Amino acid sequence: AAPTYTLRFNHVLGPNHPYHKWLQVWADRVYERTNGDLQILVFHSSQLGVEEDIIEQIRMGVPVGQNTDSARMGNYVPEIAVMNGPYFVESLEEVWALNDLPMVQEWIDKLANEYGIRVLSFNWVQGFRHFMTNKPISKPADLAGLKIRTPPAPIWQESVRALGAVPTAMNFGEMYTGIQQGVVDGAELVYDNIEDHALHEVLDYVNETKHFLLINFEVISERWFQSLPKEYQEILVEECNKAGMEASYEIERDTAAKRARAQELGMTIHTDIDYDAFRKAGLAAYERLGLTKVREEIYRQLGKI
Amino acid sequence: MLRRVYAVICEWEERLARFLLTATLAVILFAAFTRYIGHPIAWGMEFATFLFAWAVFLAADAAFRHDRHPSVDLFVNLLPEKVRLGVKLFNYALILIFLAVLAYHGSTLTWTTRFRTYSGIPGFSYAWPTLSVPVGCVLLSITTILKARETWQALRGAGGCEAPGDGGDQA
Amino acid sequence: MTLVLVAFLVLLLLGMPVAFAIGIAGFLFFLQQPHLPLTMPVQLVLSETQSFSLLAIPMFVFAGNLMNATGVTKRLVEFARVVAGHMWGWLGQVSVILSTLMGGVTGSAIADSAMQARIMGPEMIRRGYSRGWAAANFAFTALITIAIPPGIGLVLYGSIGQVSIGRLFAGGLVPGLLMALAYGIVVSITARRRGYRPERERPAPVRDIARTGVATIWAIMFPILLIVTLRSGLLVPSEAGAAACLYAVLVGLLAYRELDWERFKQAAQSSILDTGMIMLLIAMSGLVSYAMKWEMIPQTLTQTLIGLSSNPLVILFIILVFLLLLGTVLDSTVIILLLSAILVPVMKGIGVDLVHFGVLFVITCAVGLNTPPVGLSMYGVCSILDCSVGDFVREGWPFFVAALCVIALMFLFPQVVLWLPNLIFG
Ligand code: NA
Ligand code: NA
Repeated sequence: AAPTYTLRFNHVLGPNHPYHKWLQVWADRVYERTNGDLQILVFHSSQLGVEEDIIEQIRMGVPVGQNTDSARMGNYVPEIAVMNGPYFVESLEEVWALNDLPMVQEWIDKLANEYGIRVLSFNWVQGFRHFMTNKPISKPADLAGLKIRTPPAPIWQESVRALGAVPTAMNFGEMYTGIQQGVVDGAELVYDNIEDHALHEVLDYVNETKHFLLINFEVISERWFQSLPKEYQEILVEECNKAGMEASYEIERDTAAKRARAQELGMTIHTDIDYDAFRKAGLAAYERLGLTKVREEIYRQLGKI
Repeated sequence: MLRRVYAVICEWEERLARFLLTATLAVILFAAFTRYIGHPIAWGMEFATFLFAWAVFLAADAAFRHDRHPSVDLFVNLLPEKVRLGVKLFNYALILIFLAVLAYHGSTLTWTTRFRTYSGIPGFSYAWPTLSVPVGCVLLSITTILKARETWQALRGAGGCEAPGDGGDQA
Repeated sequence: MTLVLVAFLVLLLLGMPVAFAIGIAGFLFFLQQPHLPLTMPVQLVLSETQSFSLLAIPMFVFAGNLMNATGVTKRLVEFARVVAGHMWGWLGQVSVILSTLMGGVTGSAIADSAMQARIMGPEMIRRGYSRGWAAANFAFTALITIAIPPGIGLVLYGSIGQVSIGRLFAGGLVPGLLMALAYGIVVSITARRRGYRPERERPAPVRDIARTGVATIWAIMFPILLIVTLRSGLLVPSEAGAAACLYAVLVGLLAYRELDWERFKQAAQSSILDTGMIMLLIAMSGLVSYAMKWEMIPQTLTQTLIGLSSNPLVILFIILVFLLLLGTVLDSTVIILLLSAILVPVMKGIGVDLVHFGVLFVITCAVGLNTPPVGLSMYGVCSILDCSVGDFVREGWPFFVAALCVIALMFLFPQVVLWLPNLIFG
């Protein structure tokens, strides 16, 4: 029989990104455990539309989902943006630990109850983001004056500014030609983005600054979620968390291979980084956005301070 | 009286659309300039598209009034005058329903989308660009009604005792 | 979905403005889907106006109108007359050259065709060229801008398919020039038949060209300055149109002193009418595109077609014909977005070079911009030149055939695409 429930799930990444594979794995497992009654169709490269539009549709109750980030969730619950701050967390285990914090749980509930956005899981970690440029970067001062393509959201902009660069908003689609022609001097991305967007053709250095551990949120419509049988709700969440952790571990495990691949493609990996200087510089971003207290509270609950 | 009010509305609609398109141009140039001097603004792209949305939906009405929206007339040109005017009236009726429905749901969306902001312009609600759609649809509806009335009069003229000429139709 | 397509065709034949015909048809899809609220069509229509890359269209249209208002056009045509006036259909040849140059600045065929229809259309009609021929000339020569780098279509394909964008860009150059050559031949032949006579016996002496060149220097610098500012990193492609507007204003104010407030107002007025027309069409067609995306129709059809044969050449041929047909109802960017990920592994599997296929793919989809029932570029120039779609098709078919010939050449001889990238990248 045809499935009773169909969820269309959209993400901005390419079909070769590990997320696409693992989102499919999630879909398959849910399909199996619900005996084919709940089907998830995964759309890569934003085929279903613009991320912000999809989030709006989610709020209207449309059976769609989106892989998104805390900067966008911060539009609704501003504190969540803290998870997109520089050096906020530095290992996968810290991300898993965030799940159990009362403060984070409050944010998630608020998203569901006040804005109709159901977070299925944020155990999806794309790995460390690095500055990719045409000159080696060791300390914040080396970034001075460099225009770095940055998403326009305030937390991204302020973080990149705090780390020493000049954040420059630009469409993802125009990044390649933008760098090639020198409109911007580089970008800050994860290893998986390099080959997906042929950036090795226009950039020379991966500077392993590790300034964000990029946490993604898998969100769907709260109204639609509540229309599912309880049992299906549990399966959906459980499998999403599980697939996310597996995806994140796989990405972490493959880092060495991806670094080798980047070198093979002609990029130089620069590892001589003054992390203390970057961490210290990054604090300014939290300060400017009024997130210092939130960060401290999270760290207290995590037992980090 | 009503006619005079409408003429003023049209004048201001086009004036505003011209201003918005010029403003879009200015914002794009300003954003490129700030980047060139090393202090790029984050709100340039999105603010430009905001201005552009309003320019588009006001301009779409102006273009409709000036009969600029292309159509395919291969088939309808084969029809007798009277049938052709009838078909035209039918088209306007359909368009009017469509625009009314779009305007209604556009107003709803403007309200429900108010929490969404442009990601590069914090605090600037996405309701503002969204409002351009229902406003544009209402303006387009008025134009549609006036065109329908014109067609109706032409149809009555064609149906009367006068010789069936090809006048009256300006498409 | 069948209902949507049938409704669209019926409304189109009933002579309803295309933008409304496609909007109403697309809206029917949402009425059929209980899960999709009717606020969504509003959101999607708006969303089509919210892409920064798309701003190239209004900006180049505005630039075209400003060039008319400031005397830049007049001088550009004057220079062209001296250089090319000895050729049959010389204004058509100028349009070929200008599109080839604009290819280095923009990748938007809609923007280029609309701009050139504005600046050269009136001149062509004044000299007795027919509206249908002129419209087809602008619409088809604008396809050159898609092949010549930069262009968003090749970037999109390269990103989804993990194909070198540098190679794709290099691969587009020769086909782009071949298209220019093919259109040049078409102009030459059709102009003779229609009697679009040369205006001088033989090429102007170099001295005359130089003298006119100096006198019209600010006008002929226009495409060159655009390319230079873009390549030197001052602008992204979508900003180049805005820069063209600024340039026209500056030249109009400082060099030619023909620009005043009244003329600026007229240029803006003409631009909003053009923009309102083109953008409403694009915005409304977003609804039908969305229906196709939601139902994954192009993907399903492609999967079926791939299974029809095991011969690589036959598969490639079937796919190309399918893309041509699909291009008549869907915008080329949407096709590239939906089908790249499916077609790349297939092409890899049957041993077709991915750079070769990419360039072929992007150009083939783009031909649909100029064919009924949903040819966005075609409707744009037809509205600007006040020409019927019937005339466009009747008089434009030789240009269509030329485009097909170039595609056939690329299909039969992969080296047409691959020679340059192999030369540059080894
Ligand atoms: Na041209
Ligand atoms: Na181009």
